[in-house]
Amino acid sequence: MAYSCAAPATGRPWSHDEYRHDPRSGVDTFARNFMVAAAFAGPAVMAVALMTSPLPTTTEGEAYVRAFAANLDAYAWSSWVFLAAFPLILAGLLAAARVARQGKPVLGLVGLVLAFLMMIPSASIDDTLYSALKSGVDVATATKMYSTPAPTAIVGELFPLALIGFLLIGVAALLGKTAPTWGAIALIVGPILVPIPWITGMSTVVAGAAWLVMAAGLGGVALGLLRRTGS
Amino acid sequence: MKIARYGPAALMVIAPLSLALGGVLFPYPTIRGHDPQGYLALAWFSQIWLLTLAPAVIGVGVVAMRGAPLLGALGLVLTVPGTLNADGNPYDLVYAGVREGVPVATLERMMERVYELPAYSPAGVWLYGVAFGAGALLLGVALLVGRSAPWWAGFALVASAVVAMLGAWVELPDVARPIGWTLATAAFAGCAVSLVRHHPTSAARRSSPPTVEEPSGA
Repeated sequence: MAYSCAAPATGRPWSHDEYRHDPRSGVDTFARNFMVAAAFAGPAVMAVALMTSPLPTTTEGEAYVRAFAANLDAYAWSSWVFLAAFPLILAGLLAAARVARQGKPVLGLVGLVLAFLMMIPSASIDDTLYSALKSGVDVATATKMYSTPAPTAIVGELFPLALIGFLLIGVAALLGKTAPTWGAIALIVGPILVPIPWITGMSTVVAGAAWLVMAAGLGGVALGLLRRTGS
Repeated sequence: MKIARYGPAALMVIAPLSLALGGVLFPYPTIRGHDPQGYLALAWFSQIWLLTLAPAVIGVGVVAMRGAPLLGALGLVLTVPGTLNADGNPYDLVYAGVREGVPVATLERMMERVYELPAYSPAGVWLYGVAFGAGALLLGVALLVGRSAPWWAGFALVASAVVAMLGAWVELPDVARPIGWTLATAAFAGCAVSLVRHHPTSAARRSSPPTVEEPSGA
């Protein structure tokens, strides 16, 4: 009897290797196309949300709280849009990371683990602001609640690490040559651009534009998922 | 890479187990008589599942899709958004409010206002809560039908999904939550074993001497 890729018969029905999951079945093809579409759409939705939001998202402190208070009813809409963007970005991240790992497994995996930090549910300080201001809490107290939320909010501060993760996925895709070069470069440039409007206090339009570069990067790298070679 | 093989499997056990333990170890937070230190303990402990639940569910989905691609994919798409409920712990605002001396009546109003927001509104509950239960149910059925994990894993996942969906409709006793997540832990662990057994590296190891012929009659 020759060794083969098939698992030895163990009598356990769940231990078989020959799954019915054809790597190019209809479901698989649909999933790949969906994930590529999500990779473009997720960051693009984020970009549109930032560009159209009446809230000065890139400012901080009492100035932000006052502007938030003046546009309270606009928050529910932007909250919806951000919630819609997150599952799409996750699907896009998994797609891009898979492409990156085909060429550079270790770098791609490190990038995936770091980038996943962006997906952690963390208490939204904007939710706190919304509910406090809607309930008659004054701006000064709301600013204190927003500036120093629960200590666990520090987990939300891991965002820069997540951006480094996206950047590493771009580097892995570039070095491994498993994705279009333009996509890989955009995924390296995008995470560098994203925090700049927050650091420098630029407008939300610029912040949105940075997310459009992220859309090109994540989607461009994810396109490697549609190649016929590799898995 | 051992971490690529065993890491996801470990997360698949840690996530539901931490949720089951969290339901037993920590009382549900309250507004009246809010205990900041007790809440902080829960908030820190909850970081375990906040960090691990999404990759764990994706691991279960991967196993489910091996045997039943369509059902597994549908289940995965429905389940994952529930793991990303981007608003985290709503009681964080109670913690911050108590610290700043906000009156209890105002805190109660704040919680009412926060439940107007998308993630907590009826539409949000349907999108993130009910879809999570329905997705878990589909993943369980996919495991049973596709037989890509032990039968008891599929059965346990279906049972835990039923508990989760019942919880979305009626108020269940507090003990239902840890019971549901204990069932989910069994299901996820079964899938983790399957994921490790059928990882590409184990397939490669099994087939490493691909052309060696054993003596005839073996």
